[in-house]
Amino acid sequence: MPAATTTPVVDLDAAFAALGDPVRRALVSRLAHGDATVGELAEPFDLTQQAISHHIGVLRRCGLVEQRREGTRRPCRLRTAQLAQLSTWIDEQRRAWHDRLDALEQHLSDEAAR
Amino acid sequence: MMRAQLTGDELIARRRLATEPERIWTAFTTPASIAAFWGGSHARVPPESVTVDLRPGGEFALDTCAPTGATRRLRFVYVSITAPRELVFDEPVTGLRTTVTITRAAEGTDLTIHQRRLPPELRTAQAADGLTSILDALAAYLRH
Repeated sequence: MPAATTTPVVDLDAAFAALGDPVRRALVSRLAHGDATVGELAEPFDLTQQAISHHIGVLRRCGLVEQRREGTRRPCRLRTAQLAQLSTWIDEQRRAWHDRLDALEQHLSDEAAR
Repeated sequence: MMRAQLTGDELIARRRLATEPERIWTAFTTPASIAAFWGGSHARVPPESVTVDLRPGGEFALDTCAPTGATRRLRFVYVSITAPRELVFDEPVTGLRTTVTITRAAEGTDLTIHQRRLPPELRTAQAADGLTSILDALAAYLRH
């Protein structure tokens, strides 16, 4: 899958920590509806563009948001593959526990047979 | 595809077992039994590596040995212990909290595993809802 080479593993702890802030969660929700510049993101919030830039910087450093240059505009984009990784740990835990409970079931039945 | 499932408390597994709740409780709380099943089909857990200090704040630790020979020490801390019904433990390294629930059923016993892995800032219902709405928005975006 070629996407795997361009999609580094997101730092889960940093991403969860970044999303601990309500403004950053709102920014991610807004970006889920489409790309936006810092100026556009600042509009619905009672915050300066500098404050929004700071929050975008945190989201960029943990890999959830990227910013590109289009002439004088610098639109932000949500890195959806990285955000999706936040939920894949659950699937990994499910696989591990199903395997573990298979072993538990075997252990209990071995014990009962003794 | 994307599923909005980070509600902060996830059902990881559910299993009906043909035995008594007390036997399952014993399996989860005694070193020899833990060694017998914790590694599943992929890792071996040496019985002598398992330590259990069964009290709130007490540690529960074990080594998992992969077929490659790689050994990893896992450490957990008990949060609450309600024999033979509920066992809650945290893994400090990952911030993962696991709740094992054991319920007597008409035939056998139901075992469920729930987990949550959230930083302290998100350990409120409101914050968890906020995260869920983000993931809902993302799922809607990906369907476009």
